[in-house]
Amino acid sequence: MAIFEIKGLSFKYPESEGFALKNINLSINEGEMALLCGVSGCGKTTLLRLLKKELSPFGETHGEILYDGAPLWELNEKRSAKEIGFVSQYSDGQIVTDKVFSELSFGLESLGENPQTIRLKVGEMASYFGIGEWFRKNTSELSGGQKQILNLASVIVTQPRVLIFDEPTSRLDPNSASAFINILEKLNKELGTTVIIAEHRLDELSPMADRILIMDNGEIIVNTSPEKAGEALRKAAPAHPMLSALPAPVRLFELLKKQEGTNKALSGKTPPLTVKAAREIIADCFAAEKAQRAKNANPHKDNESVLELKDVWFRYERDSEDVLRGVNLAVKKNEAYFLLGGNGAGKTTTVNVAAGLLKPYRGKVKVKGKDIKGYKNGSLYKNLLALLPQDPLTLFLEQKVSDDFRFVLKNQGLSETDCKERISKVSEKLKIENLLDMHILDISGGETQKCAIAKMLLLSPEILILDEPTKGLDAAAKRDLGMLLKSLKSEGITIITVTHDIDFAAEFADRCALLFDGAVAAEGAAREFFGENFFYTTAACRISKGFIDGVLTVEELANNLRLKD
Amino acid sequence: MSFFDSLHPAVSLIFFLGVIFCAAFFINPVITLSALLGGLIFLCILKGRRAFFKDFVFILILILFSAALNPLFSAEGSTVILILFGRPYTLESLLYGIQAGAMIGAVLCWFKCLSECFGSEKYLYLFSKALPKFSLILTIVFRYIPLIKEHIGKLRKAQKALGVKDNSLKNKLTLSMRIFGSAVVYSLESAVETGNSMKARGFGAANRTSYSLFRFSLRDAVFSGVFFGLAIFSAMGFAFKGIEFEYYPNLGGISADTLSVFSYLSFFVLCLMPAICEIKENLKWRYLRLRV
Repeated sequence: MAIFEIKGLSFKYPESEGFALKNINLSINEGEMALLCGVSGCGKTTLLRLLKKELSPFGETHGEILYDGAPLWELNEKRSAKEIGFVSQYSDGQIVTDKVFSELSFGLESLGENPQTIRLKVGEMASYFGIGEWFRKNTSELSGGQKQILNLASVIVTQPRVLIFDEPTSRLDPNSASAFINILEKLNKELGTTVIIAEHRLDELSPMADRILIMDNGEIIVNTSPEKAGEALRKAAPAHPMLSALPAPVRLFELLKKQEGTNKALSGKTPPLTVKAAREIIADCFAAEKAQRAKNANPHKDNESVLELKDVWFRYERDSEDVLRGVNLAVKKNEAYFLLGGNGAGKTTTVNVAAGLLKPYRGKVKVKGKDIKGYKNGSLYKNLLALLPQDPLTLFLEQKVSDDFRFVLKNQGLSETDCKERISKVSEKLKIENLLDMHILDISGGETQKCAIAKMLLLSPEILILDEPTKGLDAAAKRDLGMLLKSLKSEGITIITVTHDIDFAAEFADRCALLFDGAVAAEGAAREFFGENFFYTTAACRISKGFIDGVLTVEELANNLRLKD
Repeated sequence: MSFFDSLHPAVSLIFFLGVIFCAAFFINPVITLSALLGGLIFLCILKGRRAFFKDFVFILILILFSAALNPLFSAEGSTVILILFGRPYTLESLLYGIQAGAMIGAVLCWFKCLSECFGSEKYLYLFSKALPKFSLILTIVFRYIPLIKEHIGKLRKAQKALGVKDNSLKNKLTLSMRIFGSAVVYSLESAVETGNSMKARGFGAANRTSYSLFRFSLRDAVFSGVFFGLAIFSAMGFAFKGIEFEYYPNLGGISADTLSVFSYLSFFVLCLMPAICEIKENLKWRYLRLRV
């Protein structure tokens, strides 16, 4: 039975010219898990918000949305709050109260349940989600992953029939994201809750989804099962950017099908969604070719070290535990050095120490051969080193982008004409001229990241440190960012990046280091680093293990497979 | 978690306010000393010896300071010890200084204990019965303060890494103003999100009820029984025999009849109640651990 029935839905924001949604027809069955994807700005959020009455954007609406057989706008407030749950990507903003338990009970209190029922349901929820341990904590003490689980739990507590998610894991690290997605699957499979979710992270979600909806420019262009999504998208739009965002096994299958001869061999196969299924297909159809691919040495090996950490120890408070326990690393000039590692391994702390924002209690930090303590009065940040923080929005203090740029330069003592010249030069290079007059909060995530990097470049640094630059970006924006980093590198800038994103690192790094337990556990040229890892590596590498070694991308893998005779 | 932390908020708040009221308004060395002693022991148990030592030194200095200074400003009293700067330095004034210092110390001590075992959720619970809207606002505010603080920290760090100058007072002020302005915009943005989240979860759709973690247990009943008993005994003595102790011009005496002694004793035990309960609890733990 259809829980949502959308008929000819179109929507236009008051001051925009085009329609954000165009003639959408869709029905979602009770108990289904529907995965909604598409590039940023394709209308996913608008569609999802229209399904939750309280959050519907204001604008011109045509067509109708039926919930449980009746028009959604007629649904009474109490039922709407109780039966349709909504979780967005902003884990902080959604939390209303200061204590975990009062956050959990908020929905039930609002609906006027009696205290005894609330006690029971809150207890039940807290144990189901494993919240028991932090039940009495302040919400401000929680980690990002815990906050998002709390947001989910405090929506589930009213036992909704439908859960709507707008990129719930896009700001989480991979481990927390997996934990969150596992809970989603449990809710869908064990409780039969209908789930409608918009996400960039398709690798994990598509095996558990019943249906994939791909949106493009306000329209749904693909509406099919996950197995058929690759083919359907290729038929609907042969060069669509979403093709590169599909799960690695699907992309591999699509690439192989394009090759001569292989198409026939694969014709009877179901497209794989998991690494396991992809490996089975390769084992079935392709010859095991254990060719070792040539290693490519790091071209920057012999350059001078521009940033060195020598046996650096750090802790936040005198009595707290060490976060860094003897970090040693040396970044060569003009290198793209990527720092990877799990949660709490000390990645962000390491770069903050390297940027002089935190002071180690033991060990040395050297920038261009000179001790970091020797750089006084901010001279370290003048034409030498810049740090892009995790939340790029924190860099901007003025509302208008150009005002903000001008302030930094004036602060450095530049004249008005010099300011103008530098701003126009940098914005031309990054192609952000059209954003200069905009309000920083009105700009999309990928573009904000670009503006933030532009702001760093205004100070013409030799070393650029980026902390989690791909957080919250979709596949296209990530690729854009990677290309930008490449071009900066070609101008001689040294780039140090902290990231969780293995695929991003595999594609754009010269050298990678794995930080574990406060020290560098492994380090090496990107290809060797990921080629030798078993678990901490790209999906393509995991698929190819045992067949071909040292393959990092799906394209490489597809080009190197040979059909069985 | 201490014994007092687990008491029902209404019980512990009445207890604290009662003791603090007596310590703050009754000028009587027995009462002040009882309150000070009880408060110090309780604080020591709550905060641990190391953290307590700092507070203890501070209170000691406070008492000494007030004892030394009071005679300089007040020349009342009849027993002159010495003449300083041409003014009489009297014994009564010195003792009154000690009394005043100890009073402030005792009140400070009990307020510290209060803040140690009376978190925001307890105030909210007590308020929510009378003023449900107000308590909701309060919990949102408590949620917002750390959020904004954290954001301001991030802004500061980001600006520092941009090399924005903050070396002179003027630069520092401009930077702080800009950071503050940006934090306000951020808080407005996230308030929209919070408002959405509240609405989405049914805020305003029905009459709000309130849920809390607290239940009035037998232990609360026993504790309040003992507390009220002791309070009534002390109040009786205070009411019939008077509580004011004369410092000026001559030191008055402390009445030592049965009723007075009984009521002072009651107040003394009352002040020690938290300490006794905590120690009893600790001993019980030790005993239980020994049995394991």
